[in-house]
Amino acid sequence: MLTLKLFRQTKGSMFAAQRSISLNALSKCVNQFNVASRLGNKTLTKPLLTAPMIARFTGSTAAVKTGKNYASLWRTERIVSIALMGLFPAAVLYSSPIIDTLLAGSISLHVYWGLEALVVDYLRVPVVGQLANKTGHATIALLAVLTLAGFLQVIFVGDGLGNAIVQLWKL
Amino acid sequence: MALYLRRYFSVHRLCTARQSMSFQMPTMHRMITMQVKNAQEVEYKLGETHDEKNGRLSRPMSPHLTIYKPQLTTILSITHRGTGVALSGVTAGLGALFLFTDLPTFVQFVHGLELPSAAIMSAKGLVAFPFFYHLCNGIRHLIWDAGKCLTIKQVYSTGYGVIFGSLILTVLSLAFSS
Repeated sequence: MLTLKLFRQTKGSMFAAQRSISLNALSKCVNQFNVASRLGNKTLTKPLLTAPMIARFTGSTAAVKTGKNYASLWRTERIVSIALMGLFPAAVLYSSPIIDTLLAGSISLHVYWGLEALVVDYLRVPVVGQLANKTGHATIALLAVLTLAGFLQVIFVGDGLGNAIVQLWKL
Repeated sequence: MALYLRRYFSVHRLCTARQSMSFQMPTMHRMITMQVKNAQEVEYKLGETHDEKNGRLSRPMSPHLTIYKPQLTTILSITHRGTGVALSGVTAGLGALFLFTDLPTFVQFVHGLELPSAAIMSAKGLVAFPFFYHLCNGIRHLIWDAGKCLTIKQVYSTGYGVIFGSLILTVLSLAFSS
């Protein structure tokens, strides 16, 4: 898979980078890092050398704090994106309840994750406040649910999502 | 970030030290003593987050959009987000349409309006271009995620490819739309 390959490559290059740095410089770096992490970033308290590779790499404080597995979420997002590229033409050409439902679910998830990234980037709590951040998250969840509900309606009550897309395009 | 910078500088410092000590250089060099100066660091207050510290120091937003020159890379990147938002609006609108009315009613309604074909075509183009742009650039992103095409030259050539590819696909899809 694409993602596995990416992970392996980055891991390899990380090791190579470490090897090329002389031990003297590295230990100095570790010391500095430890001082820095004790001062401010309370979440990364493990020494650089013993911290797991992923934690050192993604480095996001949120990942450490919430304990959520962002690596597998990232992989799932990619899988859904790749699936969409196949499901869309499949639904347009051979509209069937199974393919249409898969497409509807993938589109809703893709929309949700895409808009969630926007809220995380542009509606940050220190900038816009807790309320606006929460409202943003609620709004995108509502939009995704609205999308999914409408699509399921047209699949199981109307004449299929793929057929609906074709009809709209032929207007 | 600071950590990586520091690491780079310490390696660099080692290299210059080694260079100035070797006496077997083939050509004459003017000796330059390099000095490493770190940017003045402001320490975190107790329990302060990164954002709070930046707010306290009233640091400007990064990237500083008014002084950055627009580049192909940045424009394509923000267009990917913009088209994504536009398409989310389209899918949410379609969801609402399917949920609150049904498709045959809507089709009859649009036929009843008797819009000129240019209006219908441009409306389709306004959906088709974001769709194909987001598709092409999404493929480009997946290629990057696989660790390929990451040099500056390749990033630019795939960027131009995305622009032309999405334009061609839009025109083709409009040609086969009636």
